[in-house]
Amino acid sequence: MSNETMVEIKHLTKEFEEKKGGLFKKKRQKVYAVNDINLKIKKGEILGIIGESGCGKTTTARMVMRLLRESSGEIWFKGKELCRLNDRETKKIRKEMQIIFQDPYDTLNPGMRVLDILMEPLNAHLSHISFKEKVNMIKDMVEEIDLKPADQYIYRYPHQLSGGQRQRVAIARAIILKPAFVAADEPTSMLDVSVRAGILNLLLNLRKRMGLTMMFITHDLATASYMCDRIAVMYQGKIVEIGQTQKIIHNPTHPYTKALVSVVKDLNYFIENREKLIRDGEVDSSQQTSGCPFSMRCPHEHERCNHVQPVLTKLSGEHFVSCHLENKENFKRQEEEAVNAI
Amino acid sequence: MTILQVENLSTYYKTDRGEAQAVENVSFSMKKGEMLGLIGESGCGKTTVAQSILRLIEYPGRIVSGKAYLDGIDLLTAKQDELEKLRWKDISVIPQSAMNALNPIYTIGDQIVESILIHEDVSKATAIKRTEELLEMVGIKKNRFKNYPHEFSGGMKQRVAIAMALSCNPKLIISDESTTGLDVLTQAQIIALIKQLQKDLGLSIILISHDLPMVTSVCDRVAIMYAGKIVELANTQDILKHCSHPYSNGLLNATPDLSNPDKEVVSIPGSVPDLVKPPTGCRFYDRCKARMNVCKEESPDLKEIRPDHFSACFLEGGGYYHVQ
Repeated sequence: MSNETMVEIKHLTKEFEEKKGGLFKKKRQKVYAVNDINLKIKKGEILGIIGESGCGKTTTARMVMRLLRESSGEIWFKGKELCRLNDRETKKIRKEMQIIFQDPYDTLNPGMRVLDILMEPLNAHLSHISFKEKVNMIKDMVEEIDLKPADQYIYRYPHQLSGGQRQRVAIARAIILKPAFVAADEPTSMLDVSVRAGILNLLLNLRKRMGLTMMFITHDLATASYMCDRIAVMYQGKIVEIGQTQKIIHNPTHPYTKALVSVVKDLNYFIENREKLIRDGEVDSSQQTSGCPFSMRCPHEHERCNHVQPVLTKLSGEHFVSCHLENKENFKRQEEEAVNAI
Repeated sequence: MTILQVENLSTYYKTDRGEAQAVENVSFSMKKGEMLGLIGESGCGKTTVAQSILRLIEYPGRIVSGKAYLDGIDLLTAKQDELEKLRWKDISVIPQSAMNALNPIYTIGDQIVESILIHEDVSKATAIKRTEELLEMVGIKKNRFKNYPHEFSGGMKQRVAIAMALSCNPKLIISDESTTGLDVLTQAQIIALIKQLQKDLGLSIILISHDLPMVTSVCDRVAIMYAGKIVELANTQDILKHCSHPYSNGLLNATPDLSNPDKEVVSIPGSVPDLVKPPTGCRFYDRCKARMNVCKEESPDLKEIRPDHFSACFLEGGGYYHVQ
């Protein structure tokens, strides 16, 4: 892995408008799906993004892939600012970055054979090569994803494939143009455990062979720890902790990460100590606070957590966390700033 | 004391191509106050086992044979009116998606009160009091008695479903993937709640799940199913330390482990056999690394390889020596 940055996200934000209220008095409320996040993905690296449903991890990937327009912020990829590209330039850049979706039952056109499915990206981006060459490329690709022999698979329709095989085809479709960057959005969460491992190992092998850079989105910390070099933990549109996988697992610092790690590492420990790890009871997540997004579930909640939003602060090396508890000096300064602002 | 004894249960589903043997010859028993995990991948028949015990199998499914004794009464041959008395009072279920299990046009309080009034001969005031206690037990404040299901989050609705399952003090509770689809932390909180209630009230629970780490953390015993059959059944510690059947082992090896980052996860090649025309021999034959000639012709029965440890494999020691 080099130190070269492949993708850089700066202050990326996506807000949706939510309509609330009764029949006549409609209130519009802004909801932040992704709230001012900054990320760098190094060349050849697998960066994991984990978090619960609705935390903004898929929205982030979709914005990077230009499938969703951002509200504000910048996305840099190979020296280009993606948010400013026009449609034709965006299409060109798509050759270099691709996405693997979650559900292999939804993402493959049921009326197309594997050959047609894989032909589409080639037709869109490599119109200058002959049909025969394209077929050969497809056969090579199909063998690459361990569907051997290729002749047996390329004339099949998706319904003639198992879930794992479908996901392999979806992966083939994403990497057939040899992209530099791939976002994998929960690629294994719909698959059975015995098949899942094969897909994970396939992705790791492809990274090795093709030098892929990857954004790996998952809600499962164990899978993330197996796949990723670094992990970013998201909560309600914010990155709350980011660092090398081993750091996150052995030295989780944000209370949310701590709770997550304890659940996956030792569920019984979590069950016995759950009062210390997370607040039980109901949380209204639609209610937005001006402070820390986790304050409503945090067992260590302080007065200041309700009012002042913590910022990502360096702990060591590449390990950053966004929590007032870990960040007392910083907090003082911020509190003063907040007081001054009022 | 045995609370549930299932013997040779077989349940088939009618399809266009013939009958799919979704559950074939499943036997197990459960002690009072025990938490039994029933795990396996999608389509392995774990939910069908639960539905058969609850007699909820409807056309095109049918229970072909078998017995399921709950405290001496055979659930599979009980008459309809007997069943209605048994359900909820003796055996209840925490369903997979509480969102669909609750009636959207009644308040949650009314729904629980109703289930108590139908099954028990008590006054409405008593039922309301009991409902309030139940809600408190699962961590829902009293003042939410009159709220409708849509006013609750997913995890909270699951808590309501748990309260409802407990409403008539059942002897046996079946939790059918009741935490699937919830966020990791909410999931853990719900499991913690179920475990706590089990301890405090001495409940007997069958926990159906596909999440191996979760089941092995909270259950006393684990039954692993594959293609309609139980392949291994043992105490949790035995499953983890002396895992024998090649499929159970494959499952353990396919699961990433947070505390062991160097472990390479390995998938099980191949796919599940067609249950309409299941193989005559072992159903795991096609995918098994250690298959022998006998496995193709004969189907292995679940046999005791060590005290209280059962495995359905022809290998010596139910596969134990092969695996180690």
